Amino acid sequence: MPLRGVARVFSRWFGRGSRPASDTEDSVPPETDLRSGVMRSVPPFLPTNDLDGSAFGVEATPGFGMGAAPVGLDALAENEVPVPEAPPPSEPGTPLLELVRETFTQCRNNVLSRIQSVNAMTAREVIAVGDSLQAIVGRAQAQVGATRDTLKGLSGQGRAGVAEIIERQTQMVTTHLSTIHAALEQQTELTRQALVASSGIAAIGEQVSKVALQTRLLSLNANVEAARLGANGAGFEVIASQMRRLTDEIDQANRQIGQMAQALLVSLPQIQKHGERLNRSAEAFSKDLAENSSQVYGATAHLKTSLESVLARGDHEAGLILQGSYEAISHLQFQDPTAQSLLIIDADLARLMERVTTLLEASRTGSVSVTNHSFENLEAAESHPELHAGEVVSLGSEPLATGDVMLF
Amino acid sequence: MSPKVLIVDDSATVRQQVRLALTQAGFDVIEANDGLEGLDKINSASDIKAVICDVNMPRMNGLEMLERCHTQGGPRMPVLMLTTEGKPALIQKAKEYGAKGWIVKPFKADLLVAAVKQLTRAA
Repeated sequence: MPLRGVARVFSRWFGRGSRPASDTEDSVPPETDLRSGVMRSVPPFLPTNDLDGSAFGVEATPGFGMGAAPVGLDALAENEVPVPEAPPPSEPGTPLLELVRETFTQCRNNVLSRIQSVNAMTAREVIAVGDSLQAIVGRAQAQVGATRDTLKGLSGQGRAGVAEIIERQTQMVTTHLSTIHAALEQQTELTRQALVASSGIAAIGEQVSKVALQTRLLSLNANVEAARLGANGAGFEVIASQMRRLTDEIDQANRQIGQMAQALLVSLPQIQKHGERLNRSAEAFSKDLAENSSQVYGATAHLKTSLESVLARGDHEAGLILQGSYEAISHLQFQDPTAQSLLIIDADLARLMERVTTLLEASRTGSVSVTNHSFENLEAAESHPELHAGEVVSLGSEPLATGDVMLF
Repeated sequence: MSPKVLIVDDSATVRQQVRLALTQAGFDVIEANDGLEGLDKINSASDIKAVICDVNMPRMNGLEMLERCHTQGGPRMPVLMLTTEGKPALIQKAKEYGAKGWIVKPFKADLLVAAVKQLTRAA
């Protein structure tokens, strides 16, 4: 219930004039009943001032009470005018005063209980939201980290990179192909030389055959001469026989050499032809590989660029996640200042109770007068806690605002 | 090893929110409920790199804790006050007792993290 409503209740209690509060049917509007039935039992010693029923001011009549001079409303602020002290709670006051204190205390206890319950609930829920936020951000950061590690491997950052492996293997193949090509070239040359040598061998074999023929003729002549000489020609016979035998062996060997040379002359050109074919194939493969390698290099470079772009985007997203988390944390901070603001209500109620009981007691004794705006000023004063905190604010220095950071 | 920061505040939600902001930024966070517990942790743990401290707390408030550190030769690590208060007189008092900064609640998490990083780097 707002302060004005509470004050209005008290005005109606006071405002029954000469009639006891108990014998009226419409003395208190139902919505302002704080404690049903209790107000009707208020004893008829209330001041008989004629009050304005719509307002809640009390004007002290001359001769009533102690006859103290009326005091202005704003003079009721603390530390400015000595307000008569309300009787301490331990001393029995008037039944109305006790009723007021008891009602206020119960009201205050209820309000405080509810405030503490709300604060506990909101704290619990805020902490739960914070834990969920932490779990979400943690999972997101872990996922981004795992993706980054995977992409780093693929992008070739380090020798284990797939792109680098592809490039290295391509270079290895190209190197080996060059080696094969050089070997085939050398083989072709050696084959050509072997072909030339084979032709030389065949030519030499023909000369050897001619020599063998001459030798055979010579041995025949020796035989003829040996026959003409008769017994004296026996030595010639032997020599002629040996020569004939040697000539036969030379002929046989020459024929074999000739056959081998002929075989070489047939196979070497084929070897040469195959070598040339292999060389041509190797050249074609090397050319194709070179063309494909440039495509591979281009593709791996593009892959690297794409992966690095994805990595950069991942880092950016991770930054956004973190920023979003920071914003959420900033919003979750409503709970603490809200809880403290709610607790100020309890302090406000305590001060209100003090003020009301003081005013009631003062009004009863007639030592002070109030005007219409007493509670308005009280409410206005209570809304500025700094004024009641007793703090001294440095002149010329502005207090910091929420969220401000000052490093010394 | 992550640098360790001590948060001293009687509000569980504030401690959690500071912990969330700093752990996501790579810090390790320990907590204390009030100035007495905070003072105990400052004196017993040698690896605390920074302290974030509320002002209004039961048993011992933040300025009293800071003053106690000051009489013991000053806090070994930078102390950042985190509070709803913003009065220049309180700020001046904290500065005289050796505090290195003052943040008014509710705080912006990214600014808190930046301030802690700057103070721990300077230390």
